[in-house]
Amino acid sequence: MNNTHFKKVCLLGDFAVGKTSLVRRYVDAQFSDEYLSTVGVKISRKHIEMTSRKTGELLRAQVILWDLEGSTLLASTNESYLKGAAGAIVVGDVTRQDTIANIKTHITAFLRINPNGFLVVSYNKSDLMAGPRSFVSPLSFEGHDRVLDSIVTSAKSGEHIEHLFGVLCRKLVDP
Amino acid sequence: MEFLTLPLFHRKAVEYVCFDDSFRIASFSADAARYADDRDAVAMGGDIRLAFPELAGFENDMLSMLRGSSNPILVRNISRSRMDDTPAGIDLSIETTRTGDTLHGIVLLEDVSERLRIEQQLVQQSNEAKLLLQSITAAKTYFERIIDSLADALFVTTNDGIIRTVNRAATDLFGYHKGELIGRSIQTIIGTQELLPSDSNLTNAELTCTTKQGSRIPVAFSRSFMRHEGPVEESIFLGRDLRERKNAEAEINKLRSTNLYLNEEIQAEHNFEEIIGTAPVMKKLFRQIEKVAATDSTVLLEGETGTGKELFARAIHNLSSRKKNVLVKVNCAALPAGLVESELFGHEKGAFTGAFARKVGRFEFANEGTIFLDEIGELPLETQVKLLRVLQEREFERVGGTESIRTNVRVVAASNRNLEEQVQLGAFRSDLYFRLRVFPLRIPPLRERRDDIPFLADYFIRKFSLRMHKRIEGLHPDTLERMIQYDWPGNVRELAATLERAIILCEGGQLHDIDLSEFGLKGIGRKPSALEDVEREHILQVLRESDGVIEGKNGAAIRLKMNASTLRSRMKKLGIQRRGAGFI
Repeated sequence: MNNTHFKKVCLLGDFAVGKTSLVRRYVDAQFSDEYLSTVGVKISRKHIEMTSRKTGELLRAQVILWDLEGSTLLASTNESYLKGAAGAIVVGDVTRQDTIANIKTHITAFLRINPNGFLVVSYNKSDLMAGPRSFVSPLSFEGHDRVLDSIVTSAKSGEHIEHLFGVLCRKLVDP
Repeated sequence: MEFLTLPLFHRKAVEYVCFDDSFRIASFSADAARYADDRDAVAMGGDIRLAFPELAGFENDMLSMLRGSSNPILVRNISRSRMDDTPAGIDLSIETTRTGDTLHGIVLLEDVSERLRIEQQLVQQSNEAKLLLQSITAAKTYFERIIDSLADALFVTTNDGIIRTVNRAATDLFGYHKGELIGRSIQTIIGTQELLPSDSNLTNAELTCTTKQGSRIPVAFSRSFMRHEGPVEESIFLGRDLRERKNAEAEINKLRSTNLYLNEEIQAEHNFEEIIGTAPVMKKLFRQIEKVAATDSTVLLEGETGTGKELFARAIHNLSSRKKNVLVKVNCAALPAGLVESELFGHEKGAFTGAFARKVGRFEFANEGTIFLDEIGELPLETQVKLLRVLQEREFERVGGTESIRTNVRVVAASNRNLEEQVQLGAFRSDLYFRLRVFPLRIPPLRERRDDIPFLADYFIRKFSLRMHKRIEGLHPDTLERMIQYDWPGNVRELAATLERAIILCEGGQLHDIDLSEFGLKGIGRKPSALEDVEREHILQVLRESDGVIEGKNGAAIRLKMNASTLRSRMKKLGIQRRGAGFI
């Protein structure tokens, strides 16, 4: 176990965008429609394994997921929650335009504490989107070279959840 | 271990785990494992991060602390989703403690489950309230967008007509800001029209409303009621702007009338399909028509009856830039005296008894086109004034109307009367005469272009024989010669009528005298014999050359070197009578 990598990954976003549901889907393969606000931080961990693209060796890691209390006031977020994080998943709710607009603020707050961290954006609750699978004003992350990808997800259906975490974990464990 | 008894740990109910600079557990309190994510990992020499994954990421800070160069770290309200007796909430702090000369790292763990439970309840309620508020705001925005997308103006009012809600179409149509309408009476919009006392629904009531800018606009209002429990509480007014529809209706009416008129024109039999003329006088006339057609100038066509003045008017129109628009023909002599003005200029609804609807006049029809005023000498004097105004100012009013209507019409007038003489007699306004006589064209009588008679005869024979399904090859040469000699007082129209009647009767392949003589043209080719005949023919000829004028320096009397009263006496004796502009 001494060679195990620990990678702290934070989930950020406004309240009720589905951060806890994303973690629960990823870690426990479960989903509940019941909304329960997170207070403080919920810690989960996920053991992951992957083959190194460079050396071919098997890489093992423990991803420690910090599911933070949703807030639109990032200043109030305890900096210790973000401290030492290698990456973050920033989540917006596609049915609430304001939560999408706040994604950039969350990214900025994260990079202020962890300038070398990497991020992936989740446009969550795609199962609630009506009509064509696109939504209003997808954000542009030009200039944010730390943002690896923007992925439309549904914790409810499980759509793109593995991909969402996989993109970030690959970058953190097998850079 | 000694440091377990340090006073720090007695001030709070906390558990602890100590670690060295390799993150290995050096000591721990009895119940510390209960706070761990992996209880089995809480063992001497074990990796503290496996027991407490929250510490991952803080390694650098922990090592700095052990070197004495970093501050303690506190992480509040940590929870784990486990269903055992693990505290629901933990405050975790990373600090250092010294044992002798050795500095250890220490993780302090405090059970804050109760505090977290209370905070969770508060946050939950707060977030649910925020979500509800967001849903309400979104629903409000959604419905506002729906009512703003309506093309009709919408007003929601209280029972006594106070406006509560309006949509964008309402503010756009009536020119008010939303804030100017909310709280005001609906009568601001609909005036004092009797809508409020009734409690019945209303469908498409056509009202004239006033905009903020003072414009009067037609609007079809419908009203329905939003019934809550108990009495009526709100009315919903929907107003549809009728301006476009009204304009379209007017346009349709105009087009219908124009269509009717054009159909009549198509159905009407024209004497001539084209002007036939090879005589020098005609060629000169054609050149003049080509020149004047290109302008917008008023043209006055003068000529005896039957010379084809309408055909020349058509030629002027067709050669002009207005040819794509309508040529409206008005026979002034055929219009009933009382309706001349209404026919020419239109009338408003209710302008006079029987005016049940607005009527568009011929001048309005002819806008952008040409109006042909035939027999203009028959126009009543009072109408001549109005016509003069159209010619001078290019505008007129409908009968019974107050609105001046601009028009862009080219006027071609015609008369078989001598208008100059009419002016002298006071029957025609001199100012109108000179306004019409911008470009006078005299259409010569047939007797002045006898060379055209064979061509015209050939044309009419082919036209009528085709229509009557007869094979007529032409005229007998003697008959044609006599036709050329005849004076044709009725001009081309008389020639056409004579040939049409002859073809009806003709039984062979050629027209002879016998076919022509049946209809009172016994004089064809016959030379006058008796002295009275010669005298009568001579007087008629001079009268024609004098344009029917008897007196004056250009009159027939001076030419005949006789007194005017003597001439009149001779004319009466010889049975010479005035007919139209000429004499027979």
